[in-house]
Amino acid sequence: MVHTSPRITSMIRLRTHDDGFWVPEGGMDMALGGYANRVARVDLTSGTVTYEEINEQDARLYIGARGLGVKYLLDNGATVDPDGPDNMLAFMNGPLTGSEATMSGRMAIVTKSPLTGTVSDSHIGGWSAARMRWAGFDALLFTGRAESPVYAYVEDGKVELRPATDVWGKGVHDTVPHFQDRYGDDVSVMAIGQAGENRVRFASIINEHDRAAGRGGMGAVAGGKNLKAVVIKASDDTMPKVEDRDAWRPVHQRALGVILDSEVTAPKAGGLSLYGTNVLMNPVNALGGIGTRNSQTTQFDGAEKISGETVRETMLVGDPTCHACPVACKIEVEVKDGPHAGVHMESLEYEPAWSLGANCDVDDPRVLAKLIDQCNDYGMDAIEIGNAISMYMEATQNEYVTGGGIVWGDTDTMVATVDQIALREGVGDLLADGTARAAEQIGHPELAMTVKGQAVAAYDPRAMKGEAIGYATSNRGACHLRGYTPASELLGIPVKTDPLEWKGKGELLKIFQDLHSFSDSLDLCKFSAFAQGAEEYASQYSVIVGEEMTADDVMVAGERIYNLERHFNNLAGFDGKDDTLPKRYLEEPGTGPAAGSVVELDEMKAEYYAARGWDDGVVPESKLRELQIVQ
Amino acid sequence: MIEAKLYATLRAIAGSKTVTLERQPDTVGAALEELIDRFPDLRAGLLSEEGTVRPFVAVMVDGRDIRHLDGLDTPLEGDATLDIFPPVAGGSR
Ligand code: SF4
Repeated sequence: MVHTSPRITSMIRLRTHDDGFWVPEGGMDMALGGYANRVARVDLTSGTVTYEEINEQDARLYIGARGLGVKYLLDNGATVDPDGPDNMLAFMNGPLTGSEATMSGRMAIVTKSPLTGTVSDSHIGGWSAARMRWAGFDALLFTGRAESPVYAYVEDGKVELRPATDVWGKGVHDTVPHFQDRYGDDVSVMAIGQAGENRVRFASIINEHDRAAGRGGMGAVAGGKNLKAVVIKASDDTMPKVEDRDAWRPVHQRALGVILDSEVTAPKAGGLSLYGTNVLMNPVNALGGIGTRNSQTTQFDGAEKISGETVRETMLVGDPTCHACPVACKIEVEVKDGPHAGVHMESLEYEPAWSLGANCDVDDPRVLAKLIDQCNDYGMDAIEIGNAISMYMEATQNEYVTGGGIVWGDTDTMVATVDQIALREGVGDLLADGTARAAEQIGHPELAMTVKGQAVAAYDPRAMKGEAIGYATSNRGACHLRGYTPASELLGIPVKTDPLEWKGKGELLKIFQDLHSFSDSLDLCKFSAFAQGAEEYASQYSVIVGEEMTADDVMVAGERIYNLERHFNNLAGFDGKDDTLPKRYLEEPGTGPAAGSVVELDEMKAEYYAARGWDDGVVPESKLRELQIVQ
Repeated sequence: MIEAKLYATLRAIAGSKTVTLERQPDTVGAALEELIDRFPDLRAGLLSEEGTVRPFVAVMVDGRDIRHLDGLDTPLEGDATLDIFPPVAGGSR
C-alpha cells in the first residue's frame, strides 16, 4: 500500500457538543478518509465512557471492522477469560461502512468466543452499521460488567449507559419496539434476548430487522456484561459522501455495475436475489452435500420441500434489503396455515433451513419459519442450535439418553426444546452449552459435528472438500464463510473446481480467506464477492480512504488480518491439533454422489499450511514480521 | 425415460419442475437440445452463443457437474438423474 494521494473524503463540518467536545458530522480530522476517527471505550464496571481516535498505523494495516477489531482484542489480551468481565465486545465499522458504496451496510462484532475460546467475529446487516457510522463512530469497545442491566444509547458522537431493567427478561421482538417507541423510528437496536441473558454459549445479537450477529456467542458475552442492547439514533443526513465526485463516480459505477450485471446477484433476476440464500438447498443436495440426520447421510429426500424455490412459491411476502444494497436477498415469509399459522418473519435462510431442517429430518418450511423466528426472538445462533438438537436426536436414536429424548422430525418437541434452551430449563440447560460440550456430557463426543467447539454449516465436507479444509482450519471454529469455497466448487467463481477433489483446495481456501478478511474489514457484505473482486475492493478503498491500494495490496492486507487472528488463537493456546474434523467425516463415507468419499484431512492440512507458511498451525515469527504484525 | 429436473428461474420458463425427455437422448448435449427445442426460451439461460454451457450454469448427471465429466458429450444412461441449475449462490450468517 503506497500513500500517493491526499485525503479524498466527505470529512466535513465539525460542531461542538454541549460538553465542548468536537464531534463529527461525518468524521473527525485524520490523514485517512472514510473513518469517523472516533472510538468509544465503555467500561461497564465503572460506567465510564472515554473517546479516542483511530490509530492510523493500525488502520493502514488492519483496515477496520474485522481486522481492526481483532487488533483491539489482541491488545486487550488473548488469554482473557471469555466468560469474564475482562473480555472485550467490540462493535466495529470499516472505512466504507454506511457510505455510498454498494453493500456497505455491515458491521463486525468481535470478541473472544465463549463457545470456542478463539477470537471470533460475526457480521450484522440491515442499517445498524450505517447508523453507527452516521452517529459518528468507527468502534464501540465494551469491557467490564455492569452492576445491573444497562443499554448503551448512542447519538451524535456520544455514548451513554442507561438502565435496562425494564426490558431485561424480554425477547428481541419486545425489546426493539420498546426502544422504537421511546426514541423514534430512526434508531437501530442491537439487542440480546433471554438466551444472551442466560449465557447460552451460542447466543446472538439481533437487530430490528432480525439480522443477526449470529455465530460465536456474541450475545452470551453481552449478557455476561449485563448489556441488553446498543441503541443508535442517527439518520442518513450525516451519511458520509465522497467529496471528489469525479474520482468516485467511475469506481462506484464499476462496483455497482458488476453486481447489477451478475447472473448471481442481479436484482430481481439472479438466483440470490430471487430465492435468497436458500436457493442453495437443491444444488448442494444434488451433489450429495446435505448432511442429514446429524450428517449420518449426505442427501435429504425432503430438500425440495424446504428449498428456496418452494419457500418463494408458498410463503414469500417480501424481499427486504440492507443499507445500499440493490440485491435484496432477504426472504420475508408468512406461515399461512398449520399449527404455526400467523408467524411472519425474516429471513428464512439456507443455513438454518439445513441445520433445523435436513439435519433434524424436518421437511416442513412452515415449522422452520417458526423455529428460526424463535431463535431470532430469544437471540440464538440457528446453525448451532440445529446441530445441538440433531446431535441429541442421534443420541436418542442410539439410546444414549434417558427419558423420551427427541426423535427425528419431532417438530413439536423441537419447538419446546428451543424454548428450554433459551431459558436453560430441563434438557435445554445441557444443549445451551453448545453441541460439543453437550455431546461430551452425554458421554459421546463423537456425535458432535463441531470444530473448535462450533458446529458445522450446510455443506457436508465429504462432498465439498474446500469446506472440509475450511471448517478444519477456520479461525473461529467450523464456519462456511471464512473462505467461501462453494463459490468455486458449485458455481465456478473464480474457476470451477471439482468438489470431490482435495488437491489444490488448501491453496484455493487461502485465497478466499484472505479476500474475505479484507471485505469483512471494509466492511462490505460478503455476497459482493459473487461479482466483485480484489480490484473493486481496492479501487473503492483507494478513493474513500485516499490511499492508493492495488488488488495485490488487498490480498496482502487480507493475509495479514487472517494471520493476526491465527496469532491471537496461537497465544490463546490453539495449534495444528485443533485444526481437525469430527471423526465421522474422516471415517464414514458420504452417500449419493458423495458415496465412498471421506475427507483426506492430513494431506489437505499439509497443503494448506504450506500455502500459509505456518508451522503445524502456528504462525512463525518470520511470518509475523513479514506481514508487519510484529516489528 | 430420463427426466430433466429444472430449478430456480428455469422452472418458470419450462412451466414445470421436471421435463420427461421423449427422444431418449444418449448425451447431455442431446438432452439440452431437446429441452431447448421444446422450450426455446431456455437457450439464453443455458447456452452461450458458441453453444457451450454458460459459465455458472450447473448441469449435473447423477450429482456430478458435467464440467468434471465429458461436458456436453457426457453419456446419459437410462436411469440417470439430470439436474439443471441456473446461477445460484448464498450462504448466510
Ligand atoms: S446481499 Fe443480502 S445480506 Fe448482503 S447486503 Fe444485500 S440484502 Fe444484505
